[in-house]
Amino acid sequence: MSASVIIIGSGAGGAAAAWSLARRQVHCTVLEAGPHYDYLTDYRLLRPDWEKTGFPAKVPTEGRQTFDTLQALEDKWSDLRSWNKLRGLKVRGDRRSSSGGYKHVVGVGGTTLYFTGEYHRMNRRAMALETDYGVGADWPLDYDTLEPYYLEAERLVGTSGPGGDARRPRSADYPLPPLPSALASLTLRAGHERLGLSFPPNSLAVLSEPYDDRPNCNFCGNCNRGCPRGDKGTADVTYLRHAVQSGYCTILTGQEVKRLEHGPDGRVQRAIVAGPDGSLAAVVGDVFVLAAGAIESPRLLLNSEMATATGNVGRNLMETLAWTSIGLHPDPIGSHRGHPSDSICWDFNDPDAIDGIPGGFRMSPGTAEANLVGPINYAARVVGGWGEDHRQRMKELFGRALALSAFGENLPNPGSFVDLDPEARDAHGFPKARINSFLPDMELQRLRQMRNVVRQVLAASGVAEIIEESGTYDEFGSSHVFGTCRMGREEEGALVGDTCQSFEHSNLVIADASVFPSTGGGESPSLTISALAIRAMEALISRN
Amino acid sequence: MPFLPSAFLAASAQGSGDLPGFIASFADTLLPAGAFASGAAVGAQGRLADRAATDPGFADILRRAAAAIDDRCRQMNGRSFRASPPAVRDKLFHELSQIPDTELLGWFFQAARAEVFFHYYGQPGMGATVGLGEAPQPEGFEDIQDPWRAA
Repeated sequence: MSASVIIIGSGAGGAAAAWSLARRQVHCTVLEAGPHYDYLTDYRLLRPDWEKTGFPAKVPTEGRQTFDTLQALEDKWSDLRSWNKLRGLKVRGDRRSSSGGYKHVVGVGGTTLYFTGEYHRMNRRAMALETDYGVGADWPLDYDTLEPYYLEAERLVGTSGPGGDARRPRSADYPLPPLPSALASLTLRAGHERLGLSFPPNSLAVLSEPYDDRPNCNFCGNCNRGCPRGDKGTADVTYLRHAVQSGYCTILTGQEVKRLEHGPDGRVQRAIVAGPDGSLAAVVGDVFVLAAGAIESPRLLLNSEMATATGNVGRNLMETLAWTSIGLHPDPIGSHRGHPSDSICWDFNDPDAIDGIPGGFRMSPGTAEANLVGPINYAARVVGGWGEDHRQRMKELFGRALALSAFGENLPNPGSFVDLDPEARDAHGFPKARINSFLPDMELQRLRQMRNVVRQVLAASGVAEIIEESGTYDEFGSSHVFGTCRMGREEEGALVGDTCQSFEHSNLVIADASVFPSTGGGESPSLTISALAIRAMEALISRN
Repeated sequence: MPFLPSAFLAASAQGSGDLPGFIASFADTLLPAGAFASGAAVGAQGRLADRAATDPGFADILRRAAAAIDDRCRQMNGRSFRASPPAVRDKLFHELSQIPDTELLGWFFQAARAEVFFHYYGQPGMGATVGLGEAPQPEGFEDIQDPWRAA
């Protein structure tokens, strides 16, 4: 293949696409809106003030998107409000809050720089929800078709995992053994087992042993602040490193694609790109791979008036249905240590796991992701008080916060979509993406079930008192977003086919979570995004 | 009720006569000196002053809260907050902690305490207050399956 391929975005999809092309000696150029991250100077886990900031965003993400007014909070769901023992309700208004924004990273590696490295295959039963359960949409490919690409991605990244999960069968073992579980996770495992549940090691794009010139994890518990060791399999140290080393991939930073332009035959001809100095320029290519994520990818298509024949762009937005309960354990379990998500419960992951409510969920440790890993947050959220009593309780309670989180299926509905904000525009006058989100009663019933099980497991793990709970009922949850450029078997209801090729624009491929027809029962999407992208590029090479 | 809602509004908008002294005393009452430095000794009061310098609304609340707290202390022992003995300050903090944060004085206490904690526990060496080292990296934790060592 001699065509030049332009890849828009360098996260889990764009990076995997670049690697997949480069290894086949196909030239590609990655256009990334943000900068490179320097692990030693940008990340702050070596600094005494490390806890003062979360992930050190070099490009501020607040305000890049807008939200339409979210749904009113109702008395019948008041038990799902987020709260803290010391601070009271998290959301004080009478509507769902968007104050958490859309969490993402603008930079080389995208939001993988922020993730904890959970590397999950889809539950094969969650890929046919419409056929089997009459809800959502089916994937146009099955698990077995995707499995070889899962394996390639896992091997490239260096995935640590236990195997043995019948919901996601494997043709070969993980390349690395699972990470050891921390004492807090062993405590949760005992609680699960008392209830007849399992809590095995999680599958992670985090190294349990040195691999591919990268060191193993040293369990600092702060993946979300950016890993300064490079043991976490972010896209920049895995796919993109190898792609660039091959000589077939060039990464251009500070290049924000504003619009795509196509010819009368529907083929994309060029991208209009804002460079670091703000000036606009045209980038031409033979093939364009759109991998800007489930919010910005539909925005770019809408601003380009592309793929609009069926009116599907931006529809079917699915978000993160999540719940976390935090309690205090009587023993000094040191819950700030270890990988944040070193274990997982898949027992409710099947689509029929909850009676009468289609869609499953999973549970994993939540203490680090709840940011209870240092004294600042303990002082403000756990201990409070003042004086010598405060100091004594800080000593006694530090490391005893034990959190369990649940992440569940989120089915598409007409009230959740991305469109263009009619008023808000970026610096170049292009409309911003506007997020419209609605959680119907079925979603909230699932969330309530998730909450109930989480509380039961914490109690069985020895937690007598809950001190904080948070969920996505009263605050938009954007850890993972999906579905706004859905893949399907035919153009009706979808934008791309099973190889992520646009039905309407033959040289356009979409390679991010926007193509997901369903979310899965809480699976983290990065691995599936990358596997789909690798498969899409193989298909692209075959076509050309 | 020791603090009436009207106390806040009745307090002088000019605030305490010695606002920097009030803020430092507030930080030291939250975090008195002991095995570790006091709040004011590590400059935690600067966090409140910085916020007041950039947030006029907070600055107004801070001034009024300082005046109301000084007034209450004078009722209790004839002295300002700064000049009051630790037992009086402790009793006053207990009263403040009982005020819901839907009232401005209660909100001030919660917000100001959070600011002081944020600054204090972000200082070099303060991880030791809970048994932590200077930073999570480069050492990480190799003892993840052992009970946590008490601070």
